[in-house]
Amino acid sequence: MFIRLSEFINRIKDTLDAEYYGETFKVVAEITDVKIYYQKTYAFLKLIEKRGNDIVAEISASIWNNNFGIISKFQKETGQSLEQNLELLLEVEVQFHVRYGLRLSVIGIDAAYTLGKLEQQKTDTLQRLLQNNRGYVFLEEGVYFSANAGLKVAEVLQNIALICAPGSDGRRDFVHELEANPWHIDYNIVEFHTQVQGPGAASQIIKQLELIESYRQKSENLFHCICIVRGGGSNTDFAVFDDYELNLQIASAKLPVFTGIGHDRNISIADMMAAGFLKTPTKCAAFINEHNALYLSYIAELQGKIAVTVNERMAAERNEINRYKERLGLALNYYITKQKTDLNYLNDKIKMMNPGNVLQRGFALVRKNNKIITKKMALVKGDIIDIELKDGMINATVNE
Amino acid sequence: MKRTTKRELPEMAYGEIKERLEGIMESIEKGKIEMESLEEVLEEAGMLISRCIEKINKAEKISKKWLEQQGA
Repeated sequence: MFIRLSEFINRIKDTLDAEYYGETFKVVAEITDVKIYYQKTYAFLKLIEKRGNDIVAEISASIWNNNFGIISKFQKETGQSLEQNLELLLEVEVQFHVRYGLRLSVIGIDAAYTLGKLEQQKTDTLQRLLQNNRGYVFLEEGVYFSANAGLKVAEVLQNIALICAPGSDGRRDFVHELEANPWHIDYNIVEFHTQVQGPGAASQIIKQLELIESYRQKSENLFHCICIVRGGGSNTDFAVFDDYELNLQIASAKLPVFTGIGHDRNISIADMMAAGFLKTPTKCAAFINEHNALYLSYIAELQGKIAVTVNERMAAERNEINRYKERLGLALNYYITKQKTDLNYLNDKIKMMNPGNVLQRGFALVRKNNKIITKKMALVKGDIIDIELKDGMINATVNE
Repeated sequence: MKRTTKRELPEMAYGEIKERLEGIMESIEKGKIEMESLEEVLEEAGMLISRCIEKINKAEKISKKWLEQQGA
């Protein structure tokens, strides 16, 4: 007694349909072997559940073209692409095909679950960083930050250690923005190339950070800062920047670290641990330009202030000199006038004393032998005297 | 007083240049500099600013290769 395979499988199908047909289920599973056919608008994947490293459950799944839109919707809502080993909350239907067997048809992906999961992972990493590295990682009023943020930033950031992927858009944008600065600031950019996504990226970035630190130990002012840049991508591309070890390295770096990681949905832990974070490589470079421009404008301001202050000082000195000149002029005038008055007085006095003037008033001068006689006693009878009058001389003889 | 020439101006970091200029500014403002020394101080300020612009406009070039040669 036997039945044909098709009949047997159809019986299984009927049993399954009786139990599951038209019903949907919400299942949490990790996805693997993801193959998305964008042209044909369907995708195949496997759903698994692990305990430790062991897979304890596994089933094939599909996203058919009538539900294909859930992939882009999920990516848009979470910024996360469907990638291996991602744990998802899926809405599924059971499908059983007589030829192709059992599989689940995915009709929905819960974005909120994924976002929560990612956020939870990030929170866990931050907590670990905080608890295990008290001197480097801090939490104040709900904001995480690191010792790196407390480092003194050089007045001018000119020698830059740049961690980037070689030939990447992020690198190009960063360098272009710096080089095109309108202030003619010349930069010295030393590139430290590394992968910036995928497995191994975190350890490569750590190695480059260690290398930069070894240079810094040899010459403290060799670099003014470290910039880590990366262009845009999905959330999973940025998972490296939430790596525990990498962030510990950033938190304890002795040079200020600035990130320009091209994601605008949320910030990574690397952004929180860095001295400064910007949304894109271009913005990171613009920040450096502006920081330097601030210094330049301050120097220009000082230059202007010095010129103004010196001018004011010179003007004050000039005023002082003018005041002295004025006072000196007044003093001189007073002196000259006084001298003139004195001279006039003397002159008048002299004039008054002039015998000519005395004679003019009716007095006469009596001389004997050319000597002026002022007393009667100096004369005796018979002396011949000269009498000078206003209009001439006469001779006379003393009779008594 | 002997004049400081540009060549004699010691190598200074940006922070030191800024501090020196601030010092000069303060001294002039507070009248700590005699009129006779003003020209000299102004000359120093001018040299500092020129030095600063020179430094900004021409970074001292180092490269990864150069760093490797330093044996770091």
